[in-house]
Amino acid sequence: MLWTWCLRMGDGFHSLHPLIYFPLSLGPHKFFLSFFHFTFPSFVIPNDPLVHCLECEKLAKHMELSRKDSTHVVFSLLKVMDTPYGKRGYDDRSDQCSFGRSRHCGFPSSSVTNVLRLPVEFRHQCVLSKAGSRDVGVKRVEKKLKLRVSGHLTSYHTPVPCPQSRQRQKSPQSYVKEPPTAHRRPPSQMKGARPISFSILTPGELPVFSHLPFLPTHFETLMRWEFGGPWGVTAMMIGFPMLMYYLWICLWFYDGQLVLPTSVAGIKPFINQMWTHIRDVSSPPLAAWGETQSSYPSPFT
Amino acid sequence: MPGYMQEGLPVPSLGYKTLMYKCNALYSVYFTFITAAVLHHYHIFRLTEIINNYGHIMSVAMIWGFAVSFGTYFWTVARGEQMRMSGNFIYDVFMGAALNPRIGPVDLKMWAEVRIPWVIVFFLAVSGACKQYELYGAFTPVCAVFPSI
Repeated sequence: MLWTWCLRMGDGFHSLHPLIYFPLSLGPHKFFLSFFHFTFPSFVIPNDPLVHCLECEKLAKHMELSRKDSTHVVFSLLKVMDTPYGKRGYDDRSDQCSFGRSRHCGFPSSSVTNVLRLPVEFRHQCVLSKAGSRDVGVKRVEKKLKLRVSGHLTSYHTPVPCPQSRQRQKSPQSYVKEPPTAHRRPPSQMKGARPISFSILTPGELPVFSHLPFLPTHFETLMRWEFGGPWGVTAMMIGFPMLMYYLWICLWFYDGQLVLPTSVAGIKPFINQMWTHIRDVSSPPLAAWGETQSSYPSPFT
Repeated sequence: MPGYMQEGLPVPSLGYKTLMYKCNALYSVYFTFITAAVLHHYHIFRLTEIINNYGHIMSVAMIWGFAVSFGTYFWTVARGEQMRMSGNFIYDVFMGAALNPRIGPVDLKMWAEVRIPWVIVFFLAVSGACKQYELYGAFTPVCAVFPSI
């Protein structure tokens, strides 16, 4: 329950995630995720370009600060698509847009987990930055990913066209929000930023990562039973009509008192009595065939 | 009923198309009130019939509700439009297979969630009040609570 609630809180809850998420995540595979949460600062980079720019700016500032304490920054740029609401990442498997946001991920939106949990075709622009010297965590990730360091990232705003991405219907140009020009430079070129080397992933480079044992896939995390699963759902579909009938019987025949069997032996007659009430009085064919209310008892008469 | 045409949010599964929603609930509910008042006044359908036939109506509502649920499920599966299925039959029926089930312009989810139950609850309360008034010549304040809400 708390886990779900935690997710539903979305990004507003984000700063508290490491504190709350850790005790909740002591499952065998989730332990590693909590490790990531402590190791890396969590950045959400929505794919809305406007927000994206601001986030990049924040990121640059953060990098500036983090050079001292050697914090690692890992973030991802997702497949960017034109939608009526601007450019958004889109995940085919879960039919959700805005992958970068926690409430759509179904997962706390540590950027690392986002990168790792991306399907292969969406990882075409994963960017790992090495902002400090103590980048053991990043290197470990890189080692697993077998990253190819291909130089400096030139622009955040012109995504590398992904050959595997599906062509989607483009919306009218007027709907697409363009980022303001003041923010149109990558954080590495922003004022006060220092040169940072990046690793850029291309689509074919991460073929097996989603099968890592300790990371559930996006679908698995998103797909969870609600309402108690199949059994709970069945119980609700059977139990609620029964409850309705029971309350109605109590109102109609017993003057609003809640009737209960008085003994264990009385359970079966009680149920039979209940069924008799339902069968005799509330069966719809009686009403359908023109029976009037005078033919059966009513609490009003 | 006339109403304001409102564009919905873009739906990812439809290629970010938006669906139109006609917001005519206010006109509809006033129209329903007036119709009910007229029927009640001319003794065509007394409002007390609802509370008198409460058991019948409840049974029909249950049967009809289950029929709509299962019907929508099977219809969706037959058309191959189901989404985010778990693979468990009864769970999928409960959670719903179609994302935006519609009959013509009527959004079934909205319709079944808003237009049916609240009107029923309202008229149940009104019907109980009418019954009290017929029997006792007055009704208790409790009956006024729900309609006023």
